[in-house]
Amino acid sequence: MLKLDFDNFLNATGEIGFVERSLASLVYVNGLPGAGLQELVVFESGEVGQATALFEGSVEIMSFSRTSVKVGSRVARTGRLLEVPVGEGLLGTVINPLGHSVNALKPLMNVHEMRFVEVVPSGITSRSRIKKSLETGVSMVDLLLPLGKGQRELVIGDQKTGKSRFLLRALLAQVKVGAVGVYAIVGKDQISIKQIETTLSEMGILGKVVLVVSNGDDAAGMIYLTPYTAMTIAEYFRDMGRDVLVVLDDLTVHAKTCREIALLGKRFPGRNSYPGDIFYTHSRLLERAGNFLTTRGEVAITCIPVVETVQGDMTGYIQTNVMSMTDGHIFFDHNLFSEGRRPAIDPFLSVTRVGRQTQTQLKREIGKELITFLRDVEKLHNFASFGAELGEHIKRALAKEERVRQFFDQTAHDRIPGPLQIIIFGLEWSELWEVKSEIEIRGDIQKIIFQYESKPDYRKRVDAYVQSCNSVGALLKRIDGFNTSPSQVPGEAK
Amino acid sequence: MAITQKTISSILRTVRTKDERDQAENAVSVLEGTPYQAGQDSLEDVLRRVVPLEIAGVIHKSMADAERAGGEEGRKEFLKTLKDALAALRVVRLELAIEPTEELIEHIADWILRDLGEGFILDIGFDPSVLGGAKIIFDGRYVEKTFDAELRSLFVSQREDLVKELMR
Repeated sequence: MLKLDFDNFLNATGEIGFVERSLASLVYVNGLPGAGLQELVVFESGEVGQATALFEGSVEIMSFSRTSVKVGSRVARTGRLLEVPVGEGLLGTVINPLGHSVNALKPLMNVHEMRFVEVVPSGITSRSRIKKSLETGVSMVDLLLPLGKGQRELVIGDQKTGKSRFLLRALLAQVKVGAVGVYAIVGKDQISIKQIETTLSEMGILGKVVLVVSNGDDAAGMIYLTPYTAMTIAEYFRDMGRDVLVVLDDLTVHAKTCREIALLGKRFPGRNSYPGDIFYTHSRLLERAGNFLTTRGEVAITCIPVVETVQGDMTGYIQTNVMSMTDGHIFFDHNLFSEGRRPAIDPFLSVTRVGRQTQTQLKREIGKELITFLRDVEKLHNFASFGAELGEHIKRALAKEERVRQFFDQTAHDRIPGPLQIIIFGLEWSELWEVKSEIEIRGDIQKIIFQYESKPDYRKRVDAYVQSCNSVGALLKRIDGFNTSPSQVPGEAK
Repeated sequence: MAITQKTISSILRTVRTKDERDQAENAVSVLEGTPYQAGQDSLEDVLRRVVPLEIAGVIHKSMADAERAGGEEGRKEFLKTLKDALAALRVVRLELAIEPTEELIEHIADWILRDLGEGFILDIGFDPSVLGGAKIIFDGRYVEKTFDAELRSLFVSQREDLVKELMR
């Protein structure tokens, strides 16, 4: 926990306050006549807080201390706004929202710069159109709901529907192509934090990710700060010329914390008792993401905020608020999850607003073909549920759907590279695998992925082939060259 | 009303410290409820139990005057005005290295009255780390004029000379 020297600040600013009232994380202080909004203050105990409201003769302070502040204790101004340390040394660390390592045995090294936690988002002149595609390694998203670098895409869904898995995979895919990951864990329990850290470590990318964490039992002020600190760290890496993927997990907890603080501070409650400025609280955070023009060229902060739903209801206040300030959303459906779909994304209820403009012509065509097919086959399901005898073409369509679902299923694979997604799609779509069983297809996909990752010449061949195709028709023409069978070495043409 | 202001002023002059103000406020609260609570005791006895003799005397006399002039309403108005005036007193906090004697309090209160005028009271705290001088706190402003601060700044500014001197 950050502790400052109280006496130094007291003598430097020549102003003092006395704690009059302490309401959970809000503290009312008598005195500090020159305090400004957002100013950092220090308590006699050395712990810190931030001025959140100014009254005549008193100041409202949001304390970052887990223990309550004693009434009567002294408070001094610091004359500073809240800053966090940033630097390359943050990579691979788990820090709290004040920028301090949560592991006392692993203090931060190589972090020499300080940056403000709250900054005004960059203006329009420093932004550029989103042009580059952002690969998540998840076929369904990359083909049907593509993301662009600098996009803000909401991930929305019930608890335990595979959202975190998707986020970790997206981080993996981005770190593999050189980006930096920033994962903000907002007010979660210790076990969840540890699980995410362990998974990142197992994926081998923890060294390229910064985890900014706050526990559920931390002070509300700490939980409130978490996404802002994460964004400040992302901005540092952006200014160093590196693309960043920021995950904010999740803003529902953040909104509830804002509500708690606002109600304690006797702010007038709005819809669902959230404060009137809850939209601004989140929009000024998400507005800090985007594709930026910097001295080092175009660099993007892609942001994936997460919002939880209850029983699949995505019409809640916070849910619709965040939807309206992002460039699309990916909806994780608990029904699909219980049916065994992985990822449990509903492509019909999900939206991407700017991602498609970053896709190649081929990928766009594949996406269109797939979504049209899935929509048509959905209608066939309704028809089939009447128990009517099914015609041959319906049976074939349903079987094809099954294969497409298999193509999208990523239970076993964390990341399927973009060109490989296209090759596997081609093999599925061309009916070459029509005669194969589910297990055979699964085995073939596994082989192809293995070949791609372990044999550079095979990878080159796949990349060159995908590069040369600009339509689905062209792709399917020579796709059998990538077909595999138990008797054939993957990648060798028949 | 003019008489009331004058009498209020004379009462406030007897209140020198925050503790005395608390006692006076307590006395006003007691007096507001006295007609229902005093029982066999006279008002003066009640007052003497909660405030120092000098303040009790002035309050009792002033209240009796107000009651004579305006009856029950005059008494109520007097108590309300006194209560507001006590709450409006501004506190000058001093942190000293010694427990102040009655004489020292009187002395400092005189300074305050002479240099700042009426409407200020003292809140004197004991802090042995001060060593000498005082920490002064007023309206959120903080000034440290202590021997401790002088010594600390001396050790910082002349550290090398002091070390040389000690090593000799």
